[in-house]
Amino acid sequence: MSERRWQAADGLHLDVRGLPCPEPMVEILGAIDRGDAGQAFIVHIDQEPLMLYPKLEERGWTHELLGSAGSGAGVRLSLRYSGV
Amino acid sequence: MTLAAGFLRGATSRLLPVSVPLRFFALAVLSQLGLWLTVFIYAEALTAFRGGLSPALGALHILTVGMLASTVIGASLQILPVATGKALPAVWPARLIFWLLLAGLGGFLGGVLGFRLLLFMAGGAALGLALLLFAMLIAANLWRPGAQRVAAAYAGAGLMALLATAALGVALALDFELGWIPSHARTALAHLVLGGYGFMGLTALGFSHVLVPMFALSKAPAARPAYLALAVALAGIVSGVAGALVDSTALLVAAAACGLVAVAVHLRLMRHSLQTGMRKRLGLSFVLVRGAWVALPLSLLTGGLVAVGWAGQRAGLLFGILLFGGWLQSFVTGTLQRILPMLVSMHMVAARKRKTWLEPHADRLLLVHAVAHGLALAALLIAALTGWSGAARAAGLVGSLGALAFVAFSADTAAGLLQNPPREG
Repeated sequence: MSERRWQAADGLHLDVRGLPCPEPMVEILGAIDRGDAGQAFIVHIDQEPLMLYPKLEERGWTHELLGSAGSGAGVRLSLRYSGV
Repeated sequence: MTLAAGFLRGATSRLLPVSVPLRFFALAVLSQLGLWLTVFIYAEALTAFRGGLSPALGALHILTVGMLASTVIGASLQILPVATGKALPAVWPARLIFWLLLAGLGGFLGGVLGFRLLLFMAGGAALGLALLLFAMLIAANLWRPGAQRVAAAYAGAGLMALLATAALGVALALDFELGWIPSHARTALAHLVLGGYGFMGLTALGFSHVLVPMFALSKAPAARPAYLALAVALAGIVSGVAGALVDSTALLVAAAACGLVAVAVHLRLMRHSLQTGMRKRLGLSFVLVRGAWVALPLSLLTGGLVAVGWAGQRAGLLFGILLFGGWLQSFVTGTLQRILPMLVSMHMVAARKRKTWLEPHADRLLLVHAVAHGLALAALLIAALTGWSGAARAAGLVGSLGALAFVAFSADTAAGLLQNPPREG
Protein backbone atom coordinates (compact mmCIF):
# COMPACT_ATOMS: atom_id res chain seq x y z
CA MET A 1 0.00 0.00 0.00
CA SER A 2 1.33 3.47 -0.87
CA GLU A 3 1.36 6.48 1.48
CA ARG A 4 -1.77 7.71 -0.25
CA ARG A 5 -3.65 4.43 0.06
CA TRP A 6 -4.18 2.32 3.19
CA GLN A 7 -6.51 -0.29 4.60
CA ALA A 8 -8.31 0.48 7.88
CA ALA A 9 -11.08 -1.14 9.88
CA ASP A 10 -13.69 0.82 7.94
CA GLY A 11 -12.23 -0.14 4.55
CA LEU A 12 -9.81 1.18 1.93
CA HIS A 13 -8.73 4.84 2.22
CA LEU A 14 -7.41 6.97 -0.65
CA ASP A 15 -5.75 10.32 0.11
CA VAL A 16 -5.70 12.74 -2.82
CA ARG A 17 -5.14 15.94 -0.82
CA GLY A 18 -2.53 18.34 -2.17
CA LEU A 19 -2.75 17.07 -5.73
CA PRO A 20 -3.31 19.71 -8.42
CA CYS A 21 -6.65 19.78 -10.24
CA PRO A 22 -7.77 17.48 -11.93
CA GLU A 23 -5.52 14.79 -10.44
CA PRO A 24 -7.78 14.05 -7.43
CA MET A 25 -10.60 13.18 -9.83
CA VAL A 26 -8.25 11.19 -12.08
CA GLU A 27 -6.90 9.18 -9.10
CA ILE A 28 -10.38 8.38 -7.78
CA LEU A 29 -11.82 7.39 -11.17
CA GLY A 30 -8.64 5.45 -11.96
CA ALA A 31 -9.01 3.43 -8.73
CA ILE A 32 -12.62 2.65 -9.67
CA ASP A 33 -11.94 1.82 -13.33
CA ARG A 34 -8.95 -0.41 -12.53
CA GLY A 35 -10.99 -2.27 -9.91
CA ASP A 36 -8.52 -1.34 -7.11
CA ALA A 37 -11.28 0.23 -5.05
CA GLY A 38 -13.47 -2.85 -4.79
CA GLN A 39 -17.10 -2.06 -3.91
CA ALA A 40 -16.50 0.83 -1.49
CA PHE A 41 -13.74 3.13 -0.25
CA ILE A 42 -13.14 6.37 1.61
CA VAL A 43 -11.53 9.38 -0.06
CA HIS A 44 -9.66 12.23 1.67
CA ILE A 45 -9.77 15.32 -0.52
CA ASP A 46 -9.08 19.08 -0.15
CA GLN A 47 -12.54 20.26 -1.14
CA GLU A 48 -15.85 18.78 -2.17
CA PRO A 49 -15.35 17.49 -5.75
CA LEU A 50 -18.49 18.78 -7.43
CA MET A 51 -17.30 17.79 -10.89
CA LEU A 52 -16.63 14.21 -9.78
CA TYR A 53 -20.22 13.35 -8.82
CA PRO A 54 -21.69 13.07 -12.33
CA LYS A 55 -18.71 10.85 -13.28
CA LEU A 56 -19.42 8.61 -10.29
CA GLU A 57 -23.08 8.37 -11.26
CA GLU A 58 -22.10 7.33 -14.79
CA ARG A 59 -20.18 4.42 -13.26
CA GLY A 60 -22.98 3.42 -10.87
CA TRP A 61 -21.29 4.77 -7.72
CA THR A 62 -22.88 6.85 -4.97
CA HIS A 63 -21.19 9.27 -2.57
CA GLU A 64 -21.73 10.40 1.01
CA LEU A 65 -20.04 13.41 2.57
CA LEU A 66 -18.55 12.36 5.92
CA GLY A 67 -17.05 15.67 7.04
CA SER A 68 -13.44 16.43 7.99
CA ALA A 69 -10.69 14.65 9.89
CA GLY A 70 -9.72 17.98 11.47
CA SER A 71 -9.12 21.66 10.83
CA GLY A 72 -7.64 22.24 7.38
CA ALA A 73 -7.65 18.51 6.70
CA GLY A 74 -10.13 18.73 3.83
CA VAL A 75 -13.20 16.60 3.34
CA ARG A 76 -13.87 12.85 3.61
CA LEU A 77 -16.16 11.11 1.16
CA SER A 78 -17.54 7.60 1.35
CA LEU A 79 -17.90 6.13 -2.16
CA ARG A 80 -19.91 2.98 -2.77
CA TYR A 81 -20.80 0.93 -5.87
CA SER A 82 -24.56 0.65 -6.23
CA GLY A 83 -24.77 -0.89 -9.71
CA VAL A 84 -25.32 0.81 -13.07
CA MET B 1 -26.29 22.29 11.22
CA THR B 2 -24.46 19.00 10.75
CA LEU B 3 -20.70 18.84 10.33
CA ALA B 4 -21.11 17.66 6.74
CA ALA B 5 -23.46 20.51 5.93
CA GLY B 6 -20.93 22.97 7.29
CA PHE B 7 -18.21 21.63 5.06
CA LEU B 8 -20.55 21.55 2.14
CA ARG B 9 -21.34 25.22 2.66
CA GLY B 10 -17.60 25.97 2.73
CA ALA B 11 -16.94 24.09 -0.48
CA THR B 12 -19.86 25.51 -2.40
CA SER B 13 -19.10 29.06 -1.21
CA ARG B 14 -16.27 29.05 -3.74
CA LEU B 15 -18.90 28.79 -6.45
CA LEU B 16 -20.11 32.22 -7.53
CA PRO B 17 -23.83 32.75 -7.96
CA VAL B 18 -24.42 31.16 -11.34
CA SER B 19 -25.77 34.37 -12.85
CA VAL B 20 -22.31 35.99 -12.50
CA PRO B 21 -20.23 33.75 -14.78
CA LEU B 22 -23.24 33.09 -17.02
CA ARG B 23 -23.65 36.80 -17.85
CA PHE B 24 -20.03 36.95 -19.04
CA PHE B 25 -20.53 33.81 -21.13
CA ALA B 26 -23.81 35.18 -22.51
CA LEU B 27 -22.01 38.35 -23.56
CA ALA B 28 -19.32 36.22 -25.20
CA VAL B 29 -21.80 34.08 -27.11
CA LEU B 30 -23.82 37.08 -28.29
CA SER B 31 -20.64 38.96 -29.19
CA GLN B 32 -19.69 36.14 -31.54
CA LEU B 33 -22.99 36.73 -33.35
CA GLY B 34 -22.35 40.49 -33.28
CA LEU B 35 -18.89 39.95 -34.73
CA TRP B 36 -20.07 38.00 -37.75
CA LEU B 37 -23.00 40.35 -38.35
CA THR B 38 -20.53 43.26 -38.33
CA VAL B 39 -18.34 41.39 -40.82
CA PHE B 40 -21.41 40.83 -43.02
CA ILE B 41 -22.60 44.45 -42.88
CA TYR B 42 -19.20 46.14 -43.21
CA ALA B 43 -17.48 43.66 -45.56
CA GLU B 44 -16.04 46.39 -47.82
CA ALA B 45 -14.63 48.44 -44.93
CA LEU B 46 -13.07 45.32 -43.42
CA THR B 47 -11.20 44.21 -46.51
CA ALA B 48 -9.92 47.77 -47.02
CA PHE B 49 -8.83 48.19 -43.37
CA ARG B 50 -5.51 50.00 -42.92
CA GLY B 51 -6.01 51.26 -39.37
CA GLY B 52 -7.84 54.18 -37.80
CA LEU B 53 -11.40 54.60 -36.53
CA SER B 54 -13.31 52.15 -38.71
CA PRO B 55 -15.86 49.31 -38.49
CA ALA B 56 -12.92 46.88 -38.66
CA LEU B 57 -11.67 48.28 -35.34
CA GLY B 58 -15.18 47.76 -33.98
CA ALA B 59 -15.32 44.16 -35.25
CA LEU B 60 -11.91 43.42 -33.75
CA HIS B 61 -12.99 44.68 -30.32
CA ILE B 62 -16.34 42.88 -30.42
CA LEU B 63 -14.20 39.75 -30.77
CA THR B 64 -11.37 40.63 -28.36
CA VAL B 65 -13.36 42.37 -25.61
CA GLY B 66 -16.92 41.17 -26.10
CA MET B 67 -16.11 37.53 -26.78
CA LEU B 68 -12.56 36.66 -25.75
CA ALA B 69 -11.95 38.89 -22.71
CA SER B 70 -15.49 38.27 -21.48
CA THR B 71 -14.94 34.49 -21.61
CA VAL B 72 -11.56 34.80 -19.89
CA ILE B 73 -13.10 36.93 -17.12
CA GLY B 74 -16.12 34.65 -16.63
CA ALA B 75 -13.95 31.52 -16.61
CA SER B 76 -11.34 33.09 -14.31
CA LEU B 77 -13.90 34.30 -11.79
CA GLN B 78 -15.50 30.84 -11.64
CA ILE B 79 -12.66 28.39 -12.18
CA LEU B 80 -9.82 30.00 -10.21
CA PRO B 81 -11.63 30.09 -6.83
CA VAL B 82 -12.67 26.45 -7.25
CA ALA B 83 -9.22 25.40 -8.48
CA THR B 84 -7.26 27.30 -5.81
CA GLY B 85 -9.77 26.62 -3.04
CA LYS B 86 -9.98 30.31 -2.16
CA ALA B 87 -13.21 32.21 -2.58
CA LEU B 88 -13.35 35.69 -4.08
CA PRO B 89 -13.48 38.38 -1.36
CA ALA B 90 -16.85 39.64 -2.63
CA VAL B 91 -19.25 39.11 -5.52
CA TRP B 92 -20.23 42.72 -6.22
CA PRO B 93 -16.93 43.63 -7.96
CA ALA B 94 -17.58 40.83 -10.46
CA ARG B 95 -21.00 42.30 -11.23
CA LEU B 96 -19.51 45.80 -11.49
CA ILE B 97 -16.86 44.50 -13.90
CA PHE B 98 -19.57 43.12 -16.14
CA TRP B 99 -21.55 46.34 -16.29
CA LEU B 100 -18.41 48.41 -16.89
CA LEU B 101 -17.40 45.98 -19.63
CA LEU B 102 -20.83 46.12 -21.24
CA ALA B 103 -21.10 49.91 -21.03
CA GLY B 104 -17.49 50.32 -22.20
CA LEU B 105 -18.00 48.00 -25.16
CA GLY B 106 -21.25 49.76 -26.07
CA GLY B 107 -19.61 53.18 -25.93
CA PHE B 108 -16.54 51.98 -27.82
CA LEU B 109 -18.63 50.44 -30.61
CA GLY B 110 -21.04 53.34 -30.74
CA GLY B 111 -18.09 55.66 -31.09
CA VAL B 112 -16.39 53.58 -33.78
CA LEU B 113 -19.46 52.85 -35.89
CA GLY B 114 -20.97 56.33 -35.44
CA PHE B 115 -17.62 58.17 -35.68
CA ARG B 116 -18.29 59.85 -32.31
CA LEU B 117 -14.91 60.38 -30.74
CA LEU B 118 -16.00 61.33 -27.21
CA LEU B 119 -18.21 58.25 -26.93
CA PHE B 120 -15.36 56.11 -28.26
CA MET B 121 -12.91 57.50 -25.67
CA ALA B 122 -15.41 57.17 -22.81
CA GLY B 123 -16.02 53.57 -23.85
CA GLY B 124 -12.29 52.88 -23.97
CA ALA B 125 -11.84 54.37 -20.48
CA ALA B 126 -14.70 52.24 -19.07
CA LEU B 127 -13.16 49.12 -20.63
CA GLY B 128 -9.79 50.01 -19.08
CA LEU B 129 -11.45 50.43 -15.67
CA ALA B 130 -13.30 47.10 -15.99
CA LEU B 131 -10.09 45.26 -16.86
CA LEU B 132 -8.15 46.97 -14.04
CA LEU B 133 -10.85 45.99 -11.53
CA PHE B 134 -10.76 42.41 -12.83
CA ALA B 135 -6.96 42.30 -12.48
CA MET B 136 -7.18 43.53 -8.88
CA LEU B 137 -9.94 41.07 -8.00
CA ILE B 138 -8.19 38.04 -9.40
CA ALA B 139 -4.62 38.94 -8.35
CA ALA B 140 -5.33 38.26 -4.66
CA ASN B 141 -6.59 34.79 -5.56
CA LEU B 142 -3.40 33.93 -7.43
CA TRP B 143 -1.11 34.84 -4.53
CA ARG B 144 -2.15 31.75 -2.61
CA PRO B 145 0.61 29.13 -2.35
CA GLY B 146 -0.21 25.51 -3.07
CA ALA B 147 -2.15 23.93 -5.87
CA GLN B 148 -2.38 25.16 -9.48
CA ARG B 149 0.91 27.04 -9.43
CA VAL B 150 1.44 26.62 -13.19
CA ALA B 151 -1.99 27.96 -14.15
CA ALA B 152 -1.60 30.73 -11.58
CA ALA B 153 1.81 31.71 -12.99
CA TYR B 154 0.37 31.93 -16.50
CA ALA B 155 -2.68 33.84 -15.27
CA GLY B 156 -0.44 36.21 -13.28
CA ALA B 157 1.68 36.92 -16.36
CA GLY B 158 -1.54 37.35 -18.34
CA LEU B 159 -2.76 39.88 -15.77
CA MET B 160 0.40 41.95 -16.12
CA ALA B 161 -0.05 41.91 -19.88
CA LEU B 162 -3.69 42.88 -19.36
CA LEU B 163 -2.72 45.98 -17.37
CA ALA B 164 -0.29 47.02 -20.11
CA THR B 165 -2.88 46.23 -22.82
CA ALA B 166 -5.53 48.32 -21.08
CA ALA B 167 -3.12 51.23 -20.49
CA LEU B 168 -2.03 51.26 -24.14
CA GLY B 169 -5.64 50.86 -25.26
CA VAL B 170 -6.80 53.89 -23.26
CA ALA B 171 -3.76 55.86 -24.52
CA LEU B 172 -4.63 54.89 -28.11
CA ALA B 173 -8.28 55.89 -27.66
CA LEU B 174 -7.27 59.30 -26.27
CA ASP B 175 -4.70 59.70 -29.05
CA PHE B 176 -7.50 60.12 -31.60
CA GLU B 177 -8.27 63.44 -29.88
CA LEU B 178 -4.96 64.44 -28.30
CA GLY B 179 -2.48 63.19 -30.90
CA TRP B 180 0.10 62.60 -28.17
CA ILE B 181 1.53 59.24 -29.31
CA PRO B 182 4.54 59.48 -31.70
CA SER B 183 3.38 56.50 -33.80
CA HIS B 184 -0.23 55.37 -33.44
CA ALA B 185 0.30 52.35 -35.73
CA ARG B 186 3.37 51.05 -33.84
CA THR B 187 1.63 51.52 -30.47
CA ALA B 188 -1.45 49.75 -31.84
CA LEU B 189 0.75 46.79 -32.83
CA ALA B 190 2.24 46.68 -29.31
CA HIS B 191 -1.33 46.78 -27.91
CA LEU B 192 -2.26 43.90 -30.24
CA VAL B 193 0.74 41.77 -29.21
CA LEU B 194 0.09 42.42 -25.49
CA GLY B 195 -3.62 41.69 -25.77
CA GLY B 196 -3.54 38.80 -28.22
CA TYR B 197 -0.47 36.88 -27.12
CA GLY B 198 -0.09 38.39 -23.64
CA PHE B 199 -3.38 38.67 -21.79
CA MET B 200 -5.57 36.32 -23.81
CA GLY B 201 -2.85 34.02 -25.12
CA LEU B 202 -1.10 33.38 -21.80
CA THR B 203 -4.41 32.97 -19.96
CA ALA B 204 -5.57 30.46 -22.60
CA LEU B 205 -2.30 28.52 -22.31
CA GLY B 206 -2.50 28.59 -18.49
CA PHE B 207 -6.11 27.42 -18.35
CA SER B 208 -5.18 24.65 -20.78
CA HIS B 209 -3.04 23.16 -17.99
CA VAL B 210 -6.21 22.70 -15.93
CA LEU B 211 -8.93 22.29 -18.55
CA VAL B 212 -7.29 19.89 -21.03
CA PRO B 213 -6.36 17.32 -18.32
CA MET B 214 -9.80 17.82 -16.81
CA PHE B 215 -11.58 17.10 -20.09
CA ALA B 216 -9.22 14.24 -21.01
CA LEU B 217 -9.05 12.95 -17.41
CA SER B 218 -5.27 12.88 -17.31
CA LYS B 219 -2.64 13.99 -14.84
CA ALA B 220 -1.56 17.64 -14.82
CA PRO B 221 1.26 18.31 -17.34
CA ALA B 222 4.83 18.43 -16.02
CA ALA B 223 5.51 21.75 -14.30
CA ARG B 224 9.12 22.38 -15.39
CA PRO B 225 8.55 22.46 -19.16
CA ALA B 226 5.38 24.48 -18.53
CA TYR B 227 7.41 27.13 -16.68
CA LEU B 228 10.03 27.00 -19.46
CA ALA B 229 7.34 27.63 -22.08
CA LEU B 230 6.01 30.54 -20.00
CA ALA B 231 9.48 32.11 -19.66
CA VAL B 232 10.14 31.82 -23.41
CA ALA B 233 6.66 33.14 -24.23
CA LEU B 234 7.21 36.11 -21.91
CA ALA B 235 10.57 36.83 -23.57
CA GLY B 236 8.78 36.71 -26.93
CA ILE B 237 6.03 39.09 -25.79
CA VAL B 238 8.51 41.59 -24.34
CA SER B 239 10.55 41.36 -27.55
CA GLY B 240 7.43 41.78 -29.68
CA VAL B 241 6.22 44.83 -27.76
CA ALA B 242 9.67 46.41 -27.85
CA GLY B 243 10.01 45.57 -31.55
CA ALA B 244 6.66 47.16 -32.29
CA LEU B 245 7.36 50.32 -30.30
CA VAL B 246 10.89 50.96 -31.69
CA ASP B 247 10.08 49.53 -35.14
CA SER B 248 12.77 46.83 -34.97
CA THR B 249 12.49 43.93 -37.44
CA ALA B 250 15.08 41.91 -35.50
CA LEU B 251 13.10 42.16 -32.26
CA LEU B 252 9.84 41.24 -34.01
CA VAL B 253 11.44 38.19 -35.64
CA ALA B 254 12.97 37.18 -32.30
CA ALA B 255 9.49 37.51 -30.76
CA ALA B 256 7.98 35.19 -33.38
CA ALA B 257 10.83 32.68 -32.86
CA CYS B 258 10.37 32.71 -29.07
CA GLY B 259 6.63 32.29 -29.55
CA LEU B 260 7.15 29.27 -31.80
CA VAL B 261 9.46 27.61 -29.25
CA ALA B 262 6.99 28.25 -26.41
CA VAL B 263 4.11 26.89 -28.49
CA ALA B 264 6.11 23.78 -29.42
CA VAL B 265 6.76 23.01 -25.73
CA HIS B 266 3.13 23.74 -24.81
CA LEU B 267 1.68 21.57 -27.57
CA ARG B 268 3.98 18.71 -26.62
CA LEU B 269 2.62 18.88 -23.06
CA MET B 270 -0.96 19.01 -24.32
CA ARG B 271 -0.39 16.04 -26.64
CA HIS B 272 0.96 14.04 -23.70
CA SER B 273 -2.14 14.93 -21.66
CA LEU B 274 -4.44 13.78 -24.45
CA GLN B 275 -2.48 10.58 -25.10
CA THR B 276 -2.42 9.56 -21.43
CA GLY B 277 -5.98 10.63 -20.63
CA MET B 278 -8.65 8.17 -19.54
CA ARG B 279 -11.03 9.71 -22.05
CA LYS B 280 -9.99 9.47 -25.70
CA ARG B 281 -13.08 10.74 -27.50
CA LEU B 282 -13.35 14.43 -26.83
CA GLY B 283 -15.83 15.33 -29.53
CA LEU B 284 -16.31 18.45 -31.58
CA SER B 285 -14.93 20.76 -28.93
CA PHE B 286 -11.46 19.33 -29.45
CA VAL B 287 -11.75 19.56 -33.23
CA LEU B 288 -11.96 23.31 -32.63
CA VAL B 289 -9.20 23.25 -30.01
CA ARG B 290 -6.92 21.28 -32.35
CA GLY B 291 -7.70 23.79 -35.12
CA ALA B 292 -6.72 26.56 -32.71
CA TRP B 293 -3.45 24.76 -31.96
CA VAL B 294 -2.68 24.76 -35.70
CA ALA B 295 -3.58 28.44 -36.13
CA LEU B 296 -1.43 29.63 -33.18
CA PRO B 297 1.98 28.73 -34.67
CA LEU B 298 0.74 29.78 -38.13
CA SER B 299 -0.06 33.23 -36.73
CA LEU B 300 3.44 33.50 -35.29
CA LEU B 301 4.99 32.34 -38.55
CA THR B 302 2.90 34.83 -40.53
CA GLY B 303 3.76 37.59 -38.04
CA GLY B 304 7.46 36.87 -38.51
CA LEU B 305 7.10 36.91 -42.31
CA VAL B 306 5.17 40.19 -42.15
CA ALA B 307 7.95 41.69 -39.98
CA VAL B 308 10.64 40.86 -42.55
CA GLY B 309 8.41 42.00 -45.42
CA TRP B 310 8.19 38.59 -47.15
CA ALA B 311 4.45 38.12 -46.82
CA GLY B 312 2.97 40.74 -49.12
CA GLN B 313 0.88 43.80 -48.40
CA ARG B 314 -2.23 41.97 -47.30
CA ALA B 315 -0.53 39.61 -44.88
CA GLY B 316 -1.18 41.92 -41.94
CA LEU B 317 -4.90 41.07 -42.12
CA LEU B 318 -4.03 37.39 -42.54
CA PHE B 319 -1.94 37.58 -39.35
CA GLY B 320 -4.82 39.17 -37.43
CA ILE B 321 -7.35 36.58 -38.63
CA LEU B 322 -5.05 33.68 -37.72
CA LEU B 323 -4.31 35.12 -34.27
CA PHE B 324 -7.77 36.26 -33.21
CA GLY B 325 -10.08 34.07 -35.31
CA GLY B 326 -8.00 30.96 -35.90
CA TRP B 327 -6.31 30.64 -32.52
CA LEU B 328 -8.28 32.54 -29.88
CA GLN B 329 -11.86 32.35 -31.20
CA SER B 330 -11.53 28.65 -32.09
CA PHE B 331 -10.01 27.87 -28.68
CA VAL B 332 -12.63 29.86 -26.79
CA THR B 333 -15.62 28.31 -28.62
CA GLY B 334 -14.07 24.84 -28.26
CA THR B 335 -13.61 25.20 -24.50
CA LEU B 336 -16.78 27.23 -23.88
CA GLN B 337 -18.95 24.41 -25.23
CA ARG B 338 -17.51 22.23 -22.47
CA ILE B 339 -17.30 24.86 -19.72
CA LEU B 340 -20.98 25.83 -20.02
CA PRO B 341 -22.39 22.33 -19.34
CA MET B 342 -19.74 21.85 -16.63
CA LEU B 343 -20.77 25.11 -14.95
CA VAL B 344 -24.45 24.21 -15.03
CA SER B 345 -23.62 20.75 -13.65
CA MET B 346 -21.52 22.14 -10.80
CA HIS B 347 -24.29 24.47 -9.69
CA MET B 348 -27.00 21.86 -9.90
CA VAL B 349 -24.90 19.29 -8.04
CA ALA B 350 -24.01 21.92 -5.41
CA ALA B 351 -27.69 22.72 -5.01
CA ARG B 352 -28.34 18.96 -4.60
CA LYS B 353 -30.59 18.91 -7.64
CA ARG B 354 -30.95 15.89 -9.89
CA LYS B 355 -27.87 14.44 -11.58
CA THR B 356 -26.72 16.51 -14.50
CA TRP B 357 -24.44 16.29 -17.49
CA LEU B 358 -20.82 17.27 -17.94
CA GLU B 359 -20.69 16.69 -21.66
CA PRO B 360 -21.95 19.08 -24.30
CA HIS B 361 -25.26 18.00 -25.77
CA ALA B 362 -27.31 19.47 -28.65
CA ASP B 363 -24.69 17.91 -30.97
CA ARG B 364 -26.33 19.11 -34.19
CA LEU B 365 -26.14 22.73 -33.11
CA LEU B 366 -22.47 22.35 -32.24
CA LEU B 367 -21.81 20.61 -35.56
CA VAL B 368 -23.46 23.50 -37.42
CA HIS B 369 -21.34 25.95 -35.44
CA ALA B 370 -18.07 24.07 -35.99
CA VAL B 371 -18.60 23.72 -39.76
CA ALA B 372 -19.75 27.34 -40.12
CA HIS B 373 -16.81 28.57 -38.02
CA GLY B 374 -14.32 26.76 -40.24
CA LEU B 375 -15.98 27.91 -43.47
CA ALA B 376 -16.29 31.51 -42.26
CA LEU B 377 -12.63 31.68 -41.27
CA ALA B 378 -11.60 30.17 -44.62
CA ALA B 379 -13.69 32.76 -46.48
CA LEU B 380 -12.25 35.54 -44.33
CA LEU B 381 -8.72 34.36 -45.12
CA ILE B 382 -9.59 34.46 -48.86
CA ALA B 383 -10.97 37.98 -48.40
CA ALA B 384 -7.79 39.04 -46.60
CA LEU B 385 -5.54 37.58 -49.30
CA THR B 386 -7.49 38.84 -52.32
CA GLY B 387 -9.22 41.96 -51.01
CA TRP B 388 -12.51 40.56 -52.37
CA SER B 389 -15.28 41.91 -50.14
CA GLY B 390 -17.72 39.26 -51.42
CA ALA B 391 -15.72 36.60 -49.58
CA ALA B 392 -15.84 38.70 -46.41
CA ARG B 393 -19.62 39.08 -46.78
CA ALA B 394 -20.00 35.30 -47.26
CA ALA B 395 -17.84 34.81 -44.14
CA GLY B 396 -20.15 37.13 -42.22
CA LEU B 397 -23.25 35.28 -43.37
CA VAL B 398 -21.96 31.77 -42.68
CA GLY B 399 -20.32 32.86 -39.43
CA SER B 400 -23.61 34.41 -38.27
CA LEU B 401 -25.45 31.13 -38.91
CA GLY B 402 -22.84 29.26 -36.87
CA ALA B 403 -22.96 31.86 -34.11
CA LEU B 404 -26.76 31.55 -34.00
CA ALA B 405 -26.38 27.79 -33.55
CA PHE B 406 -23.97 28.45 -30.66
CA VAL B 407 -26.46 30.87 -29.08
CA ALA B 408 -29.14 28.15 -29.33
CA PHE B 409 -26.78 25.57 -27.78
CA SER B 410 -25.94 27.93 -24.91
CA ALA B 411 -29.60 28.76 -24.29
CA ASP B 412 -30.45 25.05 -24.31
CA THR B 413 -27.71 24.34 -21.77
CA ALA B 414 -28.71 27.23 -19.51
CA ALA B 415 -32.33 26.07 -19.68
CA GLY B 416 -31.32 23.28 -17.29
CA LEU B 417 -30.81 25.93 -14.64
CA LEU B 418 -34.15 27.57 -15.33
CA GLN B 419 -35.90 24.24 -14.84
CA ASN B 420 -34.05 23.59 -11.55
CA PRO B 421 -32.87 27.01 -10.36
CA PRO B 422 -30.14 26.92 -7.69
CA ARG B 423 -30.35 29.47 -4.89
CA GLU B 424 -28.41 32.67 -5.60
CA GLY B 425 -25.94 33.63 -2.88
